[in-house]
Amino acid sequence: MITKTRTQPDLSVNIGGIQLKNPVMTASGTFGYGEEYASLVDINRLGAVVPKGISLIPIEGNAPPRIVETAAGMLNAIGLQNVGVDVFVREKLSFLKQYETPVIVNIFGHSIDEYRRLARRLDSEDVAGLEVNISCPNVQKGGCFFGHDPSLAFDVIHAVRRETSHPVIAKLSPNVTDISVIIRSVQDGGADAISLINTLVGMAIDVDRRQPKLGNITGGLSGPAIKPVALRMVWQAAQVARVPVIGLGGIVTAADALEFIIAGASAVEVGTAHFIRPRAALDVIDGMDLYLRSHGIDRITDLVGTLRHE
Amino acid sequence: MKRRKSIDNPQEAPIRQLTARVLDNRPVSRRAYRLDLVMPASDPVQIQPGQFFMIRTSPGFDPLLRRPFSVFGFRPVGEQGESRLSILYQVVGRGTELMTGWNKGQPVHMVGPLGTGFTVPESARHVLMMAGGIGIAPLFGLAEWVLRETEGVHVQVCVGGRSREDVLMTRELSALGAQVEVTTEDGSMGMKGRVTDWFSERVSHLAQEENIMVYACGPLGMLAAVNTLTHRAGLPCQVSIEARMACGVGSCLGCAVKTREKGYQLVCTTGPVFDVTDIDWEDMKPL
Repeated sequence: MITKTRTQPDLSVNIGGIQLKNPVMTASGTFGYGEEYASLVDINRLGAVVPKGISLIPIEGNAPPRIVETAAGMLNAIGLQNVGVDVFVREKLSFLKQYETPVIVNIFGHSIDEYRRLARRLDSEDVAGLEVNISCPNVQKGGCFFGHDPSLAFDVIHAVRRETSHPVIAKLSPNVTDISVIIRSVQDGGADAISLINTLVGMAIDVDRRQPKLGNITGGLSGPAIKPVALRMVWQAAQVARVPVIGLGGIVTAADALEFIIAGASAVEVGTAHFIRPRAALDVIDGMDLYLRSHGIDRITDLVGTLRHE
Repeated sequence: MKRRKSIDNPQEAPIRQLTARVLDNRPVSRRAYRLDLVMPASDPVQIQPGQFFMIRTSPGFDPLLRRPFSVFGFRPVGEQGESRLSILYQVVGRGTELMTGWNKGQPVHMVGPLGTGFTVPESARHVLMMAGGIGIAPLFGLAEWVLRETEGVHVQVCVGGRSREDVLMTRELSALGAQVEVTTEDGSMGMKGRVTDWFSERVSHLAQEENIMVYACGPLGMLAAVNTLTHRAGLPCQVSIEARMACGVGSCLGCAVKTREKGYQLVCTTGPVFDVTDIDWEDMKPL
């Protein structure tokens, strides 16, 4: 009998039709448009790049202060500042195309029509997929968040689905009572994969001035502080989802990422960790490789959803 | 005559993640410390006056984010490519508190050099700097650069503090060849009052000079006053401003500042040095 010894663990995954060399992606809003980190990180080593979320027209963003550090985390109320899809395609995407790493474009809108038009616009572009941020207020329905209402979540994903043949990832908000309802809606809408969690909603107060520390009053909490919540939701999501799950929320180390994978995520996104260590995503990839070797596991996919419990 | 050269485009030097080592870390005034670092020889950096580094103050998550510090001094030393970098810091919170305990030999994790530094016009003959407290940090590097790289430029620095214990680097500046003025709010050293009071007394006289360039760094109120005074007098002026930062490299968009004509600009990439007239001073809030 000939025993084949695998010298190199296989980190590759397929997420809803997107083939990745490894399951580590950058979380939208934490890696700029890639160019900002190009001298610090070898972008070719990443599984995928998800740049800053893009809207139909450029958005200026919120009044400062936009960030506040919190215990093992940070609040952000950037206000989705971005260059808009036209500048993104012309300048930012063309920069990223020099790398082999797939680009998954994160998109958002304030109405179903904006999402639809964005998807249509990007359908002809050579991108690996779309990550649809549904944690946005629907200005046409009194500011109700798309991601909090199952029928709105369905409408957004369905509208995007109809406009593009690119893989569609629905990025979910954690600020819901029952994530499984939203998951079913976006799956019915045609999502090829889901990613969660987006930020939790939080705030901080300056006790001397008696004012909120953020210009926007509330903001999104991210970083290690949210990992237990993110992990729990990814685990719950993986129980009900029939599409691949991408896990994110407070991942800093390879061990963090592996928790998500064992919980059922097929891939992960690294976000706030970039601010601590620009090479965080690469450290996660290296650490995963080491884990697979030392545990005698051939493929990262063998580890997905292998939580042992009663 | 030595040819005068302008500061090279600072954005050409790539940003690096590197580990330096503490050479010295000591108090230089009531609240300020000076940190001298040895930069790794394998990774020589080029630094422009006015640039900064993002520095980790804790190995873990408390605090989470790096802190930005302007480069106060930088010089290559020896033939092996080592260089020395110095920063000044004030103890204002958890991160800077932790830094006071750093000892010689301690590794320091840094990302940089970051941001856009000062520019000095070729035609400048008189460079006037105003430093409020710890604001001397980036201006010191600028003074050093001007005095080393140019000839025939009169460098004048007004350093202000609450009291004589807060006035920094006056001897070092004189030793470089700068003309040093001091103001203290309590009058314990130099002129009683603020740097902007000192400036206000001279501004109409200075306005008549050709080839003068003004630089300022200090608390928000001081910079807003500098703006009013230079604007009224028609004096060109650059300021270095600070902002809360998470990434320091232009990706998180957290450090945005409102400008008068170009919307929000990032302090970590377009700044920290701005033309004083660019900033929408009414919109600025103290840290």
